[in-house]
Amino acid sequence: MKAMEQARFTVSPYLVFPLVHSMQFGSEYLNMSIKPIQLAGHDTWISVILCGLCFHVVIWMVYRILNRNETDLIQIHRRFFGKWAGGGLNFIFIVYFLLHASLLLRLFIEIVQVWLFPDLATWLLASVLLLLVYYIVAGGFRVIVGICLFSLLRHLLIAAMLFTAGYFHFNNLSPVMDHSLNELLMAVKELAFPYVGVEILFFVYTFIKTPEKSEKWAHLANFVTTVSYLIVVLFSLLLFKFEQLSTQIWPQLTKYKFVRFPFIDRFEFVGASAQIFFVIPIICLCIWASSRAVKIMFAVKQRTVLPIFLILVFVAVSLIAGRNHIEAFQDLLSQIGFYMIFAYIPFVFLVDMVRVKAGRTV
Amino acid sequence: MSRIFLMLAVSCLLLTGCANQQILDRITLFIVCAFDEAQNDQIEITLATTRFQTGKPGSISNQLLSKVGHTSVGIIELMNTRMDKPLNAGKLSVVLIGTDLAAKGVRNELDMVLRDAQASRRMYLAVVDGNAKEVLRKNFSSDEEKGLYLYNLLDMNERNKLVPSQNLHEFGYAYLGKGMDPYLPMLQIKDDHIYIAGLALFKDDKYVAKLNEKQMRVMKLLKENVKHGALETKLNNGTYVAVEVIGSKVRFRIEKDTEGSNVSLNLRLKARIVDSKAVTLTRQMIKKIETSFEKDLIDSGTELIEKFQKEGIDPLGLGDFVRSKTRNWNEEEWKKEYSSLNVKIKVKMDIEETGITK
Repeated sequence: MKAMEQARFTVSPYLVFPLVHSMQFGSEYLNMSIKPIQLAGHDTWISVILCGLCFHVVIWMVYRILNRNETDLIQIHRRFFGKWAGGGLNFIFIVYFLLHASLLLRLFIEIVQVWLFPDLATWLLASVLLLLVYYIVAGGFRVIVGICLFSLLRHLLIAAMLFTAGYFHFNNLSPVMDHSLNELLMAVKELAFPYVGVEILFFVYTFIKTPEKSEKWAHLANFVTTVSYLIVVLFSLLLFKFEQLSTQIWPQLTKYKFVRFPFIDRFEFVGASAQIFFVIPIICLCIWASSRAVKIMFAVKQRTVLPIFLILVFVAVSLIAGRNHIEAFQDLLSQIGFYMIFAYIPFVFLVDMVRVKAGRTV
Repeated sequence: MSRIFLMLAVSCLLLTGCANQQILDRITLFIVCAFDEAQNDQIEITLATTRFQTGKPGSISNQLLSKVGHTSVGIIELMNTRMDKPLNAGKLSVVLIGTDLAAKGVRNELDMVLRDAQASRRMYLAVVDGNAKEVLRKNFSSDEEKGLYLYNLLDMNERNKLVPSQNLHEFGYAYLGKGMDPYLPMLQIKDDHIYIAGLALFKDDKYVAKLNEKQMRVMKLLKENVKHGALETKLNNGTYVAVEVIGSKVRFRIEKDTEGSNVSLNLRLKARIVDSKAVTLTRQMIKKIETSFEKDLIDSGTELIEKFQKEGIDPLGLGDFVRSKTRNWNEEEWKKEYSSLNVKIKVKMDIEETGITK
């Protein structure tokens, strides 16, 4: 079986940067600081850096696995674990990606419902957005990468944070390291979910021209994500008292409430709508990766799987109602994501090492 | 497949009118709203809304709405029964609170405005000496909308004058944060004139004490760095001198000596003389003026802190400062310590310029 795609489907190595970055930087960042601050308080920013470092190690592992096998995870599963066990693992990944897409879509719709239009029906917005997703994913991998690149525009929103600078209290950060290492590590675990997304490398690997050269871009993507999250968490800590932050659901959107222009009084409308930049690339990549896995496993056309998956996501999104369900769903997914990154990827890495060693002795 | 897709995409265009629209001409905005206590644990909300007259740009008329109820939403619903255009809180910028309600606690009202997705975090809050409703009844702004007038009054004084700044965000910050207590400007009304009479100090969410206008100026200098505002002092020979503050910096420090730790507040002021009552400004004279100011500020500052300690409130945020310098800070212990805490005030004033005459 040929390992790499035809040249006309591939993208340049540097495009791994927007790809990995937009897959990581999703809407979860809006409330990423709530749980870790319960554990690490004003030292959470240290945990953000630690978590970023952990993900650099994970990216390194991912590239070691992929460079050695020169194919994507779907084939690696079959090669390592045989047809049935490998197929089962692929199936778990498909379900995970579909759940991830559903969560992101539901998070965005919830923001629109709470901040903009309280009487908007969930299914209505879901169907409109999923049509957009169909249009993008049906366009192929290169179109999705284009959307990821376009979504980098969201970093312009950082300028709006300048309006809050007058309310910063720098003594909120001291005394530094008032929490034990154990508490910091617990916070790292809570922070991991917004970083999750590097697993997409397993699926896009065969679509990269000279994939070995793309590793530095993946590291750069993770670095930019870490810096962005550091800004998010640091600004939250400087702006809000710990007790105040615990009462917020979307502290990041609350920050837009400080912005005041003569021509736009409620900037959070812009901020809330702009979350679509954080959501659409992830949904597209998730749907694309899961439908591609089905294509390879069952030798069906990707376009026939796509509508079925979109309908599944649509049903899942319509079934999640209200804050409590969304929160429970997010907790579940963040657990799965955490173990996938910090348990499953190292496991595959070890299996790969063992196979190489065993192959050499034989 | 593509035909179905096209059909669905086109049908999306028909959905654009489905969301609830809020067009400016079809809603009633209000900038100011007043909360008062009513009987049986109810609250009274008063809104001053504007009505624009068609065909006459710039001409507005104020309309006053007042209702009693248990929750704000219920009251707004009741008010809507008297309106031709629904009320919308999106532009709310000033919230006035009556003294009675403030003394009982503003927790519920605070929760309401902080929960609202449309409320600005920069909204100004103020306590009214007496009944908040009475302020909105008075005709204090002849040609301007009442809400806008009040907003500008508070905004101008908190930005450029010696009224300590406080908005919704900072109030919530000081109320929820440990080791500090909030405060709000106190408005008073006299013969159709409204003015900031001082500061209302809160313990948690309850109004407990009041500062007069002179104490308020000192409080602002001890609380934050300022760039504007005037101060005056009485010299030994009985004449008054006024200076304009062009920059002040306040630093909190913990000093440890044999009796334990104490906090010192170091205030450095830069100023220029604006009114010297024809005193000849020799170098010795300026030195004298500086010492006179320093003594004044130290005396009134110390008096202020004794007042805070007696009431058990901490509007300066000394507790929060000590927290940031101590590991494993404990709020309970701090509260016990606070009443007997030794707070020193040190002031250094520099008069840099004397206007365009000597």
